[in-house]
Amino acid sequence: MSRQLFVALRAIAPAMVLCVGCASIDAFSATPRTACAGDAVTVTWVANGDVTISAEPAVSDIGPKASSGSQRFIVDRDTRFTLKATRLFSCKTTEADVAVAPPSREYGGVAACSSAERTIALTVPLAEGQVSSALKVSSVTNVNARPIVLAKGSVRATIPARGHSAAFDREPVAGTWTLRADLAPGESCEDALRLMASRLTFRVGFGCGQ
Amino acid sequence: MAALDRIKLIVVVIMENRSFDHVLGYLSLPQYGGRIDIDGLINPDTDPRFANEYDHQIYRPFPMADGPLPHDLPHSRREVAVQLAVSAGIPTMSGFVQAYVDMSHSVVEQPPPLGYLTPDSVFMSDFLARNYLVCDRWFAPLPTDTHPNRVMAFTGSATVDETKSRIIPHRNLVFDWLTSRGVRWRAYHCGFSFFPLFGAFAHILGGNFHSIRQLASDIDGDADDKVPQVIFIEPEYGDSPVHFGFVPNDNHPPVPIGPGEHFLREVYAALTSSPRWAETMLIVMHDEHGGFFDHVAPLPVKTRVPQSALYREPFVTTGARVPALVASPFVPSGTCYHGNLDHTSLLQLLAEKFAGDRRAYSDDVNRRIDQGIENLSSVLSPQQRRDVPAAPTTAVSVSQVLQSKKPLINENQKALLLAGQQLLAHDRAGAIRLFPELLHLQS
Repeated sequence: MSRQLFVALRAIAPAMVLCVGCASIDAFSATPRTACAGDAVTVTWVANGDVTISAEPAVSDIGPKASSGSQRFIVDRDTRFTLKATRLFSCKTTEADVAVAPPSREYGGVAACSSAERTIALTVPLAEGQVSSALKVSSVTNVNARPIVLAKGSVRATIPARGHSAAFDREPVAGTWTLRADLAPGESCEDALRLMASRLTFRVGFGCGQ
Repeated sequence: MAALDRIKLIVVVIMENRSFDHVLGYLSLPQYGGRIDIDGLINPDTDPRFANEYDHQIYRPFPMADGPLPHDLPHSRREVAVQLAVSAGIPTMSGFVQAYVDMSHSVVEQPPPLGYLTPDSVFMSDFLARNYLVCDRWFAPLPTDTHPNRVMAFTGSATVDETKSRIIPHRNLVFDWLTSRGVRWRAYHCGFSFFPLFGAFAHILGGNFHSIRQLASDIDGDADDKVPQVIFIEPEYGDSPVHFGFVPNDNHPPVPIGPGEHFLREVYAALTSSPRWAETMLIVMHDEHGGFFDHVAPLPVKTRVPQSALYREPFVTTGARVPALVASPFVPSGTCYHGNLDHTSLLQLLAEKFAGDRRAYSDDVNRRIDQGIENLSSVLSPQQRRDVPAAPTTAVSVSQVLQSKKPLINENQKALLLAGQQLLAHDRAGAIRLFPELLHLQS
């Protein structure tokens, strides 16, 4: 390497450090994340650089794409979509998984407590971007250490701690679920939230088709 | 005589960026011995404390094979706040997946922050845990990333709240404290050191910094009045601007943990091969959780903003728990210490050992004592063991990229580059004698 070239490369090193012209990924998703075999999954991306989308196992029509876009793919099995963006000195990758008919999933999150209503409650909206409209409930389990009242649409069930309910069987998984757990007599919100680690969750068993 | 009085050599190894549950949590699982005396992964599939939420879906810890990670994990101050997911004033520790998705745009069935390692991957940590002592409530002092937590470890106060490319302002640097009390100390490094980031170049070039390759011969060969009383040991940092003769072994993702475990084995072998082991206390801990999940909420320890600080909002909790192990003839085999510790517990230990009072380090450290942070000397037992367990011979078989074509992109990489350049500017010959790899940097 000539002395001049070496000096020139040293001169541009700060620009490399600042990563001017790096690839970047601003958004990537594959929805619904939980699907049935044969469902169409929408992959959406926004990136800077030369974009390639791959899938494992492979699906049709993957490969180089525009830097941003959206495309539907049919999935039959659990599939990992990978977005790779390359530009000048850098390469970024990210992944999105689609699970096809897993046995079950746990849903829920951090709940709020009302000392006036003496309940801990949580609303869990499962949009069709998250779960396929073809997914049906095969069972519901109360994961919590105390009874909950679980409701979705017109269906409501009281489920004992660690217990199961068939009240939602064959209902679509997609939709808005609500969970409520009552405070014990004399129990404060603070104590109840500590005992439940501030969370309410439930497990849904899945089925596809009829 | 108290155990601490019989300790003649304190050795501190600080690794990078792993959480307690991630490295040592498996100790509580039934298939690995079910140590329920340790607050690890006890019923992680059902206990709500292990449930992490992203978009209302729950994710729980899963076993992870060691190897390079696809991404570094989020662990800046802002990102840690997402991970802690404070609700009604309580850190719920439920936001690790959310923070990962925010940073990586990656939504996968097994998000890396929830992965936990098993004994085949962390063979040396497993060995130390089973033969010596686990500290299961050692917290990173601050809920943020590398520089602030290392500054806390080496000074006791928090002058910065995030990792940035700069020389770190500081006061009460541990080297100054030890030197002022006539304590013999040394730092052993693999490649480039973290300490130039403090700008204390006189310390670094003053003869107290040695290559890790000299550790065993130094300890064996030094006369009693020359051998150090305190040793800091540094791994090869993955973020170092240049590597020469060492592969990264600091455990900082995306670096796998296998090389770090091998590094710990070499340190342990060097120390235990000397008769001085009978009077040694080896402390191995991590600077911060690095974005990996831990289920225990940080302690409500307030850290005031010192006058020279480069930020304004005070910290109101510690960071997450980190893996911490103590090996010494003065700790019982296979035990666990449950007292609340953080990196300033080391400074309390030094203060008690060398000034006779754990409150003798600084007012900043004392404020943490007043909030319940304990002295590391609490882990010591008066009973001296005679056995010296032999480290496992497990082969490290993970792969890692030795030559990266990626540009420097993170703040710690830029900071180490800056420190290297400034050290060269301070004393080029001396710097290259100590860190030959700096030949590749411009001064």
